Amino acid sequence: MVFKHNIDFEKLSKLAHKNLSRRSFILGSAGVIGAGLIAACEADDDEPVDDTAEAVEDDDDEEPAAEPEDDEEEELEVDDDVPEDDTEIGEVRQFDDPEPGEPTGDQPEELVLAWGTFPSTDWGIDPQRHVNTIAENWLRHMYEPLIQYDRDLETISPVLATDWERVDDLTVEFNLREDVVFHNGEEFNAEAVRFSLLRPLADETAGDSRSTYAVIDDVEVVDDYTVRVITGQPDPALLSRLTGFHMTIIAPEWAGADPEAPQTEANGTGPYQLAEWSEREDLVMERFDDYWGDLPDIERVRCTVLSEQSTRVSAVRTGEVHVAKDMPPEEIDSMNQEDGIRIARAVSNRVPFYFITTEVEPYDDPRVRQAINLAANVEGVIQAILQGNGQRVSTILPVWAFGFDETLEPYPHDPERARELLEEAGYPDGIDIQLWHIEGRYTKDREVAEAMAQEMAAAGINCTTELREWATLVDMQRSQDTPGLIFASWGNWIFDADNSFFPLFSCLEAEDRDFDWTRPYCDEEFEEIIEEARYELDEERRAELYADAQQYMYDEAAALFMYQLVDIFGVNDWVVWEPRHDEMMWAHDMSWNT
Amino acid sequence: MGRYILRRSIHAVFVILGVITAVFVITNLTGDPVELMLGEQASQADIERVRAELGMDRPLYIQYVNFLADAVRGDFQDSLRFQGGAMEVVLSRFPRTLMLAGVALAISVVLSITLGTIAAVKRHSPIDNVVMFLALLGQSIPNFWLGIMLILIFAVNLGLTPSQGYAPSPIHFVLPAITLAAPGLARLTRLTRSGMLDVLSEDYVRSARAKGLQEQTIVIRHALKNASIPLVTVIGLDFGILLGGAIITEQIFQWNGVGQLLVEAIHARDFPVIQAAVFIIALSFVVINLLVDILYTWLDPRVRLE
Repeated sequence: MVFKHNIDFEKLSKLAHKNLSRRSFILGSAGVIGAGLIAACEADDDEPVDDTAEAVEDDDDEEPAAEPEDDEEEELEVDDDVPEDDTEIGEVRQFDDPEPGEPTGDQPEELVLAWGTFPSTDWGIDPQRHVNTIAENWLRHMYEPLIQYDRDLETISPVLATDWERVDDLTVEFNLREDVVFHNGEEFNAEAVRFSLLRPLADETAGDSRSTYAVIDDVEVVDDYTVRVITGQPDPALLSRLTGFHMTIIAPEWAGADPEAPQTEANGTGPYQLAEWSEREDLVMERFDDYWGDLPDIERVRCTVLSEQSTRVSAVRTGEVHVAKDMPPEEIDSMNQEDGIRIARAVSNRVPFYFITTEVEPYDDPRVRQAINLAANVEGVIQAILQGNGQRVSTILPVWAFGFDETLEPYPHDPERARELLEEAGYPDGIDIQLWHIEGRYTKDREVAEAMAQEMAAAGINCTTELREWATLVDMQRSQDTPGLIFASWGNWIFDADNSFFPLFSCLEAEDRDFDWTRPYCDEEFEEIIEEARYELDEERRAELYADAQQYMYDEAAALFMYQLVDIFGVNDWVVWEPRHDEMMWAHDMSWNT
Repeated sequence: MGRYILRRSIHAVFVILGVITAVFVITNLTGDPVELMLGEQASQADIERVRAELGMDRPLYIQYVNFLADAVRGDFQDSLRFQGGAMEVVLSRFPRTLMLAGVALAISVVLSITLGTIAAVKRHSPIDNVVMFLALLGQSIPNFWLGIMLILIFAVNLGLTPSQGYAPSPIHFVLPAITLAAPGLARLTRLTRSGMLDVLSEDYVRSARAKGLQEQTIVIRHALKNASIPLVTVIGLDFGILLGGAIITEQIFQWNGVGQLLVEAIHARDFPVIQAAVFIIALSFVVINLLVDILYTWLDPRVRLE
């Protein structure tokens, strides 16, 4: 077999070198990995969850802020039936959602899964070139990686690899399954792995994620079912990286013959194979009967998009859709009471938070930033606005991320202490601040922003909320027109602290953006910690470093820390399914309730 | 007649030119599509490179001249978000919108003329009152609310229709077409009623009655034809409102047409698609109204003399 993989290693290494020299005045050795994680961006898929009708409202509406004069503390109203969150730090919050009830009507002929937006389609259905969560969700039915995170998002399990071993600091060796065929009949082997892992790095088929994997220097075929992945530098996160969906294995002869073919056809090793697809239409898949693993129960799957939230809810109610993402919190009770459908929830990997422009007065004083964190009453907002559908976190790491510090308590709600801090900082009469936010992208984002702003009034912080359309807000950040708190959200997708701290809070990243306010944080001491952790192969030492990093970030109050979102799914009782934490709705995780 | 049509056609060209100019200016006022395309992660260098590739680094007036030159040939560049040319993308969705608008128009014309005529003939009767009350509701209920209510009642509670989605089967058209037709239906009913009332008090109607013609013949053959002259104009204008209204209706019912495409394109700042979609909508609006004007000369020969 002859494979062509037109990878210009020379160019890649030049690219890496260029990055190195451009940035060298801050950090000498960041090189390729630096460029790597920067683009690791599942942070913002275009995923509006609210109605378009609301989302297209006047962008420049200035919401009235709480008046500092009337200090009457308006308590956030919490419904009586919203349970208190008594989750310990480090535990994942559980919800007592109902078990599937008695299904109504006939057993469906196909399973219909619905999302709020289409995957971005720059590359059709090519699995290796997207950086979009919904695309990942659809395509992972058909394509599999060597290894994959379990439901706990902490353990890595074998998929197409059987086992692996670190040979030296730069090399990991994988043994492969020998009983796997692609949908088109091609045989799965070491050459297929080499082809697939190098494909998203090649110029001809480079995806949006290339720099994330640029640390991979080569893939060596040892024998038919053994490969070695070789990196340019020690990379403690290499295994996490290989779970990424750009590292899925694709039929080499087919994809090698026509690099564009995977944009419209599909040939992987997954439990489902493509039945029909065209752009902006449903993706339909059928069970692949020669699948190497357990055959899924459900034979035919349709992935569809219903962008209007109320329509999505109705479609679950009528039974036209069997599992749908992003149901509004206020529908939970009524949907649970209905026959034939239920709500299923899981803490999500996505963490919204607010950047703070730390070089601007009064935000340049850490005491002021601490006061903001103490006054925002995030826990109260989770209870009152999100009706309990959020998990409070101390910083910006999700609980299962490698390096998460279970000893660090989140900022409490303490307006008195916040006032004292402001006085110490020289603001006895309180401060005026601005909070820049968006609407319609994540559950209740606007309401949460407004409620936090109101809560801050009790500490003498007069917070004005500034609502902008997302793209407008990014423009404004780039031209540094957004002093104060700026909305951001991140889905750490290799479940490792590095993939939150480096892309969001590193000087390297800030410098790459000419220190504009899309990444307003750069602190040399913090940088040293995360830089050291990035190349540390000893896990214990690495975890310690990340605990230090979290403590540092917490003390500095580098951001307004909030919560992990909770995904709320509407599920038909014909379907047995336990929701996952990584936003994935996979048919092969589901079965018919018979 | 030929000169009249020529004059109207020249007007139409200027209207379309005005519309696409307005769209060009407004889309460019909303900011930069490149940053949105590349996402938050992009570096400044990438942004500038893509901007240059798309010709967006050139002065706006040059972009405008290029845009017009291309638009005249129906060429709206490639979509920034979808695969393929913007015009192709729009045209692939257009039949669905046109079908929906067509069905809605048919519903609103047939029902409004029937109901309006009955209301006029049975003036001040309970039927008249009911029709006028419904017309009031139809005009004042917001479209999106009506759509959601219809879904709740007929799809969720009664299970009679699908709740959403396009499919080439009549049952899929019912709810969206009614939603889309409602405001126009109400407006046309009122117009038919008042037009009929005017005509029914004309001298020639009295003469016809004196001649002993059947009431049915008087109403349908004589009164309705004359009352329909202003209606035709309004129907032409209504078609434009239907195409515009399709944006909301398609969004609610997830009807995969130009309206929904336009919403997506606006969110993605996909300028070429926005421009092509508005161009197509404006073009069909203008063409329909041109036809109405021509139809008018047949209905009312006096128009030609002006």
